[in-house]
Amino acid sequence: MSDLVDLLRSQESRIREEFSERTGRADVADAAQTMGEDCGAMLEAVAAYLAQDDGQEAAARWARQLSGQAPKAGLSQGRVLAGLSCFAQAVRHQAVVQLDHQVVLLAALDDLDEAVDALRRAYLAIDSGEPEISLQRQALALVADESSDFVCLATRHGKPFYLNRAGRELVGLEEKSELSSTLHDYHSDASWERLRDEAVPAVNRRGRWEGECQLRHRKTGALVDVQTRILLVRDPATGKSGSMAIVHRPGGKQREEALAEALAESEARKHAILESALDPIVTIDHEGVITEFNRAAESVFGYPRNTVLGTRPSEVLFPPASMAGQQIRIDRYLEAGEGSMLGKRTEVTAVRAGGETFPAEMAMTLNYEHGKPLMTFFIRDIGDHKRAEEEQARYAAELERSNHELEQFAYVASHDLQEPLRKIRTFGDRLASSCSAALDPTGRECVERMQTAAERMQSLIQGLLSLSRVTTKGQDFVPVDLAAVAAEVVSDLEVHIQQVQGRVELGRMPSIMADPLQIRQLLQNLIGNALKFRREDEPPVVRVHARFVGDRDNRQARGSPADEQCRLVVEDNGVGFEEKYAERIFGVFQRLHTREAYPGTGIGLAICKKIAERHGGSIAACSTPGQGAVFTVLLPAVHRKPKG
Amino acid sequence: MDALPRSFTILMADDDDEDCLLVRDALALNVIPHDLRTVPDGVELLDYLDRRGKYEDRRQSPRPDLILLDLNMPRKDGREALGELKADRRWRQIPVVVLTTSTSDDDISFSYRSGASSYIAKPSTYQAWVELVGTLHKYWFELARLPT
Repeated sequence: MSDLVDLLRSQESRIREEFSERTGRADVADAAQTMGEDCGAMLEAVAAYLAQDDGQEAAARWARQLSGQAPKAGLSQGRVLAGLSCFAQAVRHQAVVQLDHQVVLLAALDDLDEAVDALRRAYLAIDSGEPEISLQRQALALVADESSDFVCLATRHGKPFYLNRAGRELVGLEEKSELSSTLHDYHSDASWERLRDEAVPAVNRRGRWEGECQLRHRKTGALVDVQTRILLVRDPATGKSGSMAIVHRPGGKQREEALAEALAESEARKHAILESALDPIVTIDHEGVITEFNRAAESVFGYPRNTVLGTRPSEVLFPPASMAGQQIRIDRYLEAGEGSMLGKRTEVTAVRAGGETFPAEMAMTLNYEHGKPLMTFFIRDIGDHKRAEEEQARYAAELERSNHELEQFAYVASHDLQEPLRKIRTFGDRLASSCSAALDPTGRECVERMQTAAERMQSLIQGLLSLSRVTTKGQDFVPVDLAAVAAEVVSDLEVHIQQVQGRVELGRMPSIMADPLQIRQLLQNLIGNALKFRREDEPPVVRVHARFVGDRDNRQARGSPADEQCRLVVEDNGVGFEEKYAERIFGVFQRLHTREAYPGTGIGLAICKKIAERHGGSIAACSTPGQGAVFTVLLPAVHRKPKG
Repeated sequence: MDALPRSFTILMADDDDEDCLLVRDALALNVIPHDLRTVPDGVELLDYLDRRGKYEDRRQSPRPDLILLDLNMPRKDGREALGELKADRRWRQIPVVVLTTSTSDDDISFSYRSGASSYIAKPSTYQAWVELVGTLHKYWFELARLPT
């Protein structure tokens, strides 16, 4: 639009320069007269002028002026058209636009007498309030231009003055180029003779003619067979015959061939797509019968295409059980043309020719051919995917089972190992007490050492047993008040705390869902350790506190406040340890000190780790030697299920 | 209390000979007049009580005043045997002390639920055995009153 405005402005200024002295703004029609030869430019000037003035009034005045004048013959049609079109766009008034269309139609005539006359009539029609007529004409003009047939208007003597777009294409005429003065240029010699000698007289006599013609392409000389119909157009006002409308409909052999070719191309394209598809594509028609079965379908299902065409999917592609419901839905779908299946991926069980079933993913689309629905299935054999999934599940189950067995083994082994050990200890005891008189000091020392070793072995076994019990004897998760449990643990340790002149400070702690006994054991081990690994020069101070921490990553990933974690911290001012041992200390029987320095089996932290893990959490430690240690346990606030 | 120390009959059901030996030893060490009878499993325990098979002669199978019952035994374990003898009105009132290596909570609660009078884990030292047997004797045969 702005381009147009710019164009109009530049034109206007040009016009002004040329005519300002003589015409002034208000009298453009005079300028038009003066322009004479260059009527197109005159019309452009008018358009430019109208663009900024009262369009209707100016147009009317211009039309009146024009109707009294006969612009010179030989006026460029294209320029007239361009000018009028410009004019119409610029005026932007309904009535004038209608006027414009008539003008366009009629001014396309080189017979400008007719054009001027028509323009006058059109103007009068608007003046007398008959816009419908011009509306109809406008519509007809549009239809003619959009038609795929050859539509030509000619004088009653057979001189063409309008040719639509399709017509121009058929005879190889550029959009803007001028029409020939004779129909001969667009037809084969034979056709032209026939039109001249037979058709034109017939039209003038009877009002219409129908027959076959051959159009000739002006550039290539190619001939196209057409069905032709020519009608006589009478002036509604005078009843006089005015012009002829010539309609050629491409037909005959060429048309069929062209259509067939286009169809074949489209088919070939479709076929290529279907055949190169990696997944089976199966189409059924409105009766539910398979009409398309691509190569991938052949190889996946194991049927040659021609044995499957004409059958129903439920007969060959899917086992009856799996397809019974599916078929009903397909039927309903084909009937109603809609349903829940469209576009959705569904998992189905499909069956191969050999009877082997396999899991498949299926999507469906619906389209219409000759008004009847066709349904296309895109099927994907997800057997491999499924197998991989199953394999993974089996592996996970196997791992779980093996873990479980290992725990069971640890439990049973440690349980059963205790029996003979108990005997060794008991009878060693008996030897030391009842028969000590019979032993010399060396013998007594040997027995004593054996006893110590046996006792130690028993604590190791008991440690293993406790470790395995974390999972084998775990209890259900219930709300656990960490503060209360910590207070109980401290109360249990009270005597010991006093002995070492220590202090345990309990901070704020929330409630979480957990196994209460295990939480107690966890706190007992951690607080016990904190007291045990104290520095000689300083009474132990242990601080225990816990709070919820929003794990932001977790929350973003899983989007649930249920993934909030409780961070439980046990800090001490004890001997600490080197950072490199931070992971090792959670291993079974891992110790950083001699038994003489700090007694213990090295199972306590392993149990803590296992408890944390069973709760879906984790435990970590950090420390610097001599600077105390901080143990941090992360426990989910809410659990779905205990692990193990 | 009887003027003369009465010899109490203790029936110990345990497949572990050594534990039986230890109990016998400890009884002797505590100078307790005793009649300790042992059976190796639950089947024989019930045979004994029912005086079946080799326990037919009632002189060889006096009614026990106290039963020491191990839980893990072949053929019929202590749990089954406990259930059966507590279900039988003839033996229901004989106190049963479970004496086992198991310290499992399940076993403990099962035993008490099934009518055991006490549950003791087998000690790991000789000294503890001696003390245990002394304590058992003192409790069941000196402090507690048993049905005659």
